[in-house]
Amino acid sequence: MTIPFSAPLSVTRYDPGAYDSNGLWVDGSTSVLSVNASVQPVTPRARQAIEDEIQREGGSHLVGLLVVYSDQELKGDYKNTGEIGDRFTVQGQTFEVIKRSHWNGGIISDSPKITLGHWQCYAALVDEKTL
Amino acid sequence: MNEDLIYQAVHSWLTQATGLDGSKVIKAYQNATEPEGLYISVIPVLSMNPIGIIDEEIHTTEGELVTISRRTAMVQIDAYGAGSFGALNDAMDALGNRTIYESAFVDNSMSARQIQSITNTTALKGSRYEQRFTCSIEIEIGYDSTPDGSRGYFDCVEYDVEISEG
Repeated sequence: MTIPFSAPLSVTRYDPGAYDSNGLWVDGSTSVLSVNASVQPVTPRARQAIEDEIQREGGSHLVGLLVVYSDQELKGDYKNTGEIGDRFTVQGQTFEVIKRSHWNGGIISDSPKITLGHWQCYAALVDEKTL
Repeated sequence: MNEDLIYQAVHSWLTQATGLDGSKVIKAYQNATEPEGLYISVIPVLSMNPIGIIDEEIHTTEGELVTISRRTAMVQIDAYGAGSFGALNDAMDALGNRTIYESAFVDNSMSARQIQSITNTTALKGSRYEQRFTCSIEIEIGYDSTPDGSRGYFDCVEYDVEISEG
């Protein structure tokens, strides 16, 4: 089974970067892959939860947030290793995966719902001034 | 650009003074990961001011007009991790080391002096304390800021002469 309403999505993946001998960051190389995904707007509740998390880490608000359901793994950004999250374009704007979680398929306890195994990823709009 | 010149000079000074690898002395705000272990982050221009009301203009022997700008820039230096005080202390001590000072600053038309005490800014990171120290220096820099061909003055007059037999 596949994610309902999913379609091919072109994703740019970044290898970890590193500092050069002058202390300047050099991004890792990139590759492009196609995943099967459904891109949706986020609910206000989910947006608030993510913004709260970012503010706890010292960040500020987010501009533009999408949720992506995919049956393939997407990479999120990970500051400890300098990894940039997977990036993709929707309606001419670039988004970067900032948070992800994996749902195993099966019956959700205390609920009549059955889930498909999938990745649920949140992606934020990439502001060119922050690159 | 003078921000890059300042960063290169400060980077050279800090790596020589502390013995840290070049990749452990980084430019701040690059949206990138923290280096492993002790590292130093540099904000090359915290603020910048001109020295004097107007910039100096020099006529060279070739007849060109060159503008020399002089600025003071405040540079912030933050050290993170165990040994961060020692690293900053070594760096400030090296401002008095002629070899390091000349190669980093004088050879690049700069002078530098410490203007802020080394200050303890240790703070919680997650559930544990991370040792952090900060310090600022002031740099005076002189650089060629001559506009590229758009000064607006005549720098060449062309004429020709036509002679008719009469």
